[in-house]
Amino acid sequence: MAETHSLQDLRQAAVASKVFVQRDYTSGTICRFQTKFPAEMEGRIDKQQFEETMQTLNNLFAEAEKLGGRSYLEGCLACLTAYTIFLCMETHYEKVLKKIAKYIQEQNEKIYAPLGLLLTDPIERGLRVVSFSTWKMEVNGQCCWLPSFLNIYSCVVKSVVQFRMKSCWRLLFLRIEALAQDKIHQRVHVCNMVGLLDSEPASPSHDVLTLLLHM
Amino acid sequence: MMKKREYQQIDPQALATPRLTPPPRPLPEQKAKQARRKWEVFRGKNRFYCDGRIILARQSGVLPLTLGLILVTSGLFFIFDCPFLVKHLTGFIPAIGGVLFVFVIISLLQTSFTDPGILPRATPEEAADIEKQIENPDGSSSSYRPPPRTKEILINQQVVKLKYCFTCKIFRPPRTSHCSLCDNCVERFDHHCPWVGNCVGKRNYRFFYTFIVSLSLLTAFIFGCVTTHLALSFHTYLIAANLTTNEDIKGSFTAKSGNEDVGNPYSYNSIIKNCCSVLCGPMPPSLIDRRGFVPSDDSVQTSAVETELPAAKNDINMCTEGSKGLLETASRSPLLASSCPQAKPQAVPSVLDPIPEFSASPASHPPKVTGGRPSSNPPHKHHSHHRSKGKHAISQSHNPANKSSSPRPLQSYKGDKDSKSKDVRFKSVN
Repeated sequence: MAETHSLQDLRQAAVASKVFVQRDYTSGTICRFQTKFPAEMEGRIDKQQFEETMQTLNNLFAEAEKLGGRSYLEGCLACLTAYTIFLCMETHYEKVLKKIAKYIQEQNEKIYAPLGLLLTDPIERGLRVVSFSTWKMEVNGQCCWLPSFLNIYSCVVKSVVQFRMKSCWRLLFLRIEALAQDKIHQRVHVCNMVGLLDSEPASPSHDVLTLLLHM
Repeated sequence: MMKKREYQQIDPQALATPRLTPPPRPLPEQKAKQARRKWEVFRGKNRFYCDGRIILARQSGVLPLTLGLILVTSGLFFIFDCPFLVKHLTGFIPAIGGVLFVFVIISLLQTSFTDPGILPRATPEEAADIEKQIENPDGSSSSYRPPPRTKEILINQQVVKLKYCFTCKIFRPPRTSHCSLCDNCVERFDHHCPWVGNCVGKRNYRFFYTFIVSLSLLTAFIFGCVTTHLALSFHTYLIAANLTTNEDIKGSFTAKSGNEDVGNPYSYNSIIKNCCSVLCGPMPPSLIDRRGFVPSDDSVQTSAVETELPAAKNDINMCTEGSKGLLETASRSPLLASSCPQAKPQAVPSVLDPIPEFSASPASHPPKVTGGRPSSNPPHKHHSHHRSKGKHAISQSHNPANKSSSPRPLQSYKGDKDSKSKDVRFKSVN
């Protein structure tokens, strides 16, 4: 069944779709995200994997917002210098945010990108949501998610290249090696997928995935 | 001009695949977008300076006023007050003032120029996701009425309502409020402060607090210094010279008053001795026996007469100071009208009666100023400057009693007229 479709068909419609994990305010206004597995993620990612990621993120944010000797010291020092110290010193929160960014990048590389997903750093969404982006693709009238697509066509994401253009928008370049055995031609398709994820809100058109197919 | 892009290679395996020939080129429209920064497309009503480093509310017209007031006040203090205080007190004064001033200015600018904790608006996808949640939270999309745009959540076992922000397309997080002036949702929104030209919220509340605390300290400090300056410069000089403010203002012992050899006769001619005598001399006792008992009734009458004396003196002292106000009360009084030709005749004799008596009294004290008519111009020199203001007002102005009690014009008239002839007159009354 799958073999009858040419990968060229994918060029037509591929829409980015996102699953948002909202903030959890049960313990106040500290930054925490819900760890409940969203129903939309069913079948795209392992529940345990998701929970582990969210828990780590929550722990990191808890570390950033922890009240303690360190933050008091920082606050007093800043107060004594009329807060000018913030101009030349990196705050504890900023350090942890860097750590979070690194963690998310790592998770994307190791776990999410190969599944055709992309985890977005919540700081880019005003610490309101953690979003998992993926592409919804239409293949011969059938909608499927990129993870499912990869599954159906037994494709493997061989590489993910991420561009960050002055942090305005992000370009995700997926190199997918379609291991789908084309029964007729016995060829291995390599499809380079270029997608714009997390683009400027003003330009939703960027969310359309462009596929460059090289046969 | 294309900015150099940061390149992040995620998968090291990519190098191993030679088939990855054309690197993905951004589309032309994306190229143009790169150069723009987010503040350029920011949708709140804010102004940005220094390429987005500084954020301000759109209407921040009061901020220059705030800055100007602080600068002018502190400037005047540092220019006029500080040099004196440094010379006479301590060099710490400008140091402390300077530190406070720097604190105030820095914290004011930080409050004004930092992001108060603005929540970015939702991206279209996020908004769509929230809309979807609102539309059918439990699948009942058939209802005609628009769904309630609130969400109830539990915070530490307490129910808190989150409102949906139609502008930002988000459920406002707890303690967040939408500032209508800046058109932004601000976390832990305190208030929009026109004086600092920015919202006060989560991120700049501490700066704001530092600002108000340091400003009040600076104000108190400047006030204290100015008061000290006054006390030091004026009253220390007075103490050192053993003068009173009264003597100093009148210039009683200065060479200006005519004769050169006039000096302060009360001075000990030594600053230290003057200071000691004024500040550390024996504390004089109170001369009025306030809690003593009034003696038996045969002396009541004399005491009654004597009470008039200080009253008369007071009136005379008031002449120089409060004459204007008294003139006004006199002009409003019916007595003024009575002296006019059209006035009621019965009031005239009672008021004008004493005048002949007084017109005679100046004979013993010839008035210094020439040309004054004796009937309207009392001889006392304190009154001489009233002459130009109308004779009726003068003759009756000093006595508030005239206004209400026309039956006793004589006594009161005497009381406030000529202080030098008062002993004579009181004798005549008694």
